[in-house]
Amino acid sequence: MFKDITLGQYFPVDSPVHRLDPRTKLILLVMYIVAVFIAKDLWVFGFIIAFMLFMTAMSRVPLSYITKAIKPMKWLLPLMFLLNLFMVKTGTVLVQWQFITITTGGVRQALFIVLRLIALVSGASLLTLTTTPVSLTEGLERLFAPLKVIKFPAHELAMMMTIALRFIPTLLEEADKIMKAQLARGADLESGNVLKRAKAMLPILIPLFVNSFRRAEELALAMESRCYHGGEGRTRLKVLRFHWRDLIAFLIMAALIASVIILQNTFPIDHWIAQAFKNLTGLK
Amino acid sequence: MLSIKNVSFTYDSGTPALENVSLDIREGEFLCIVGHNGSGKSTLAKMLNGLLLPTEGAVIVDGMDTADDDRLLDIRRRVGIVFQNPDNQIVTTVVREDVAFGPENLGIPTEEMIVRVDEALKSVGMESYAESAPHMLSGGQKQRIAIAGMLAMEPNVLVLDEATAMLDPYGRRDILKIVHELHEKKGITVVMITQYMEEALGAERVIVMNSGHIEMEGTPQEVFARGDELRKIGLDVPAAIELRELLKERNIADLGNAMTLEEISEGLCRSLLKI
Repeated sequence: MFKDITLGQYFPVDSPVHRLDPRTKLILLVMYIVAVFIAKDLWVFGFIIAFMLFMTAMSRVPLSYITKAIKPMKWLLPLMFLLNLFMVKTGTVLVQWQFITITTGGVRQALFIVLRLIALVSGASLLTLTTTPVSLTEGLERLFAPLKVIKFPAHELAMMMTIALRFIPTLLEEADKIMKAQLARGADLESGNVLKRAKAMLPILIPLFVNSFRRAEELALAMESRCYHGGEGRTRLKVLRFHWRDLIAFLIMAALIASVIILQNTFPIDHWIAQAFKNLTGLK
Repeated sequence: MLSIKNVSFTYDSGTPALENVSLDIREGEFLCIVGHNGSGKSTLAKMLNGLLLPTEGAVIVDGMDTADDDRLLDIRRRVGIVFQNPDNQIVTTVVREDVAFGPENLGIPTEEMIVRVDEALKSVGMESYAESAPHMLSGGQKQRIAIAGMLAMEPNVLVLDEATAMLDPYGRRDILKIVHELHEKKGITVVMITQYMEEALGAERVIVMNSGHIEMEGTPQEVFARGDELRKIGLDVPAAIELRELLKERNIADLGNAMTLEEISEGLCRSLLKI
């Protein structure tokens, strides 16, 4: 029942984006976040989102997968929008009714926050859609390796992630087995309110919990038997290597940041619109 | 090459598991240690690579004491252990990378590691599963991967601590076959710990453990000839040998040293045709 689960949300196709080194993709994500945060003109967001769409097309991941990632924010986005709309009081007043004040600054800020969130989440989910959890772990380990100097446990964290990924299917399978065993003894898992159902889960969770401690102990013995002694002096079967395509990706991302800066300084369209709006309405 | 000298071991809870056990494991031999649950055989296995240290006595591997922390990696590289539960000894999410786990820890250069991993997978017949996810494999296949993981460290001794106990008959047969092949072709020393008497038939030497000490020692022939003593300590004699003894006892046929059902049926046919 749980045997063919896929971990994370990796979308398995072959594309130039998939083939990038995981380290590259992680750094690209950071650069992309920088680009999103330095964008201070609304229309530049259009540019960033167009870039996102282009990258998605390159990755051959269907756009619906990206929108699926945005979906969980369907409450957060309107909330953020409204909060900013009513709370920010800068610029020209558009509506003034009782205690409600809507200003041009508020509208701008509200749109800004929503677009920023969408841009961030779609960027991050493109990373997880095109990178397997395993290579993501590898990428993180290598990227953080220099931090070992300040005692940052990069290897240990990566090892923990690897073991977690390795045991998720095993534990799911076991949970399935225990569940069936309890059902066979007349356990009722599906009726009753939330509290009752949560209580009915206990006979499943306890054996699962106890077993995972036993597993951990046995795994530790097996790892010790295989000479595991931490990250020190370890070599790797798979060596990550940067390719020319990684360089191209870096250049493209650098170009994005550069064009965001240049575009919003040479064409501050938001500012122009605001000016025109002021002149047109005569409001101050 | 591996000697256990007057070893005693008591668990923290105070239960004595081994009492004054001495045993020499010779290079290139196929040794089988049998005993029922709680006889101390698994404790003994964990002594062989320093997972447990003797409370009294010493375990010496190629001149190195397992109590010497600095030599522990060297000892563990030489003595590989495969455990009972196939699920709990696979560390990573891809078969190939799991086999490489030991060599990675030893700091073997990547080029050599690739050769070792491929060779190890080939010797357990799992080369076509190199890129698979371990949780998609059967128990027997996982155990073969665990053996390959040990082989990739190029050990001199392979210890199987009830490695077949959780497998189905097919998986068990596969593992036995592979272990015998490794012993014959690569001359690897095998220490097989089991409670299946049948598995001891193919060994060169059998040690019978009972409540923390060595009860009997000898070739399978010698040990299984003492069927009554074995039964007294709660162990069985392989079905084929029991049948052979019964045939002899009732004067139906004397089949000499026949150890398998095939040998018995052949011998029986011969003796019957002569009549």
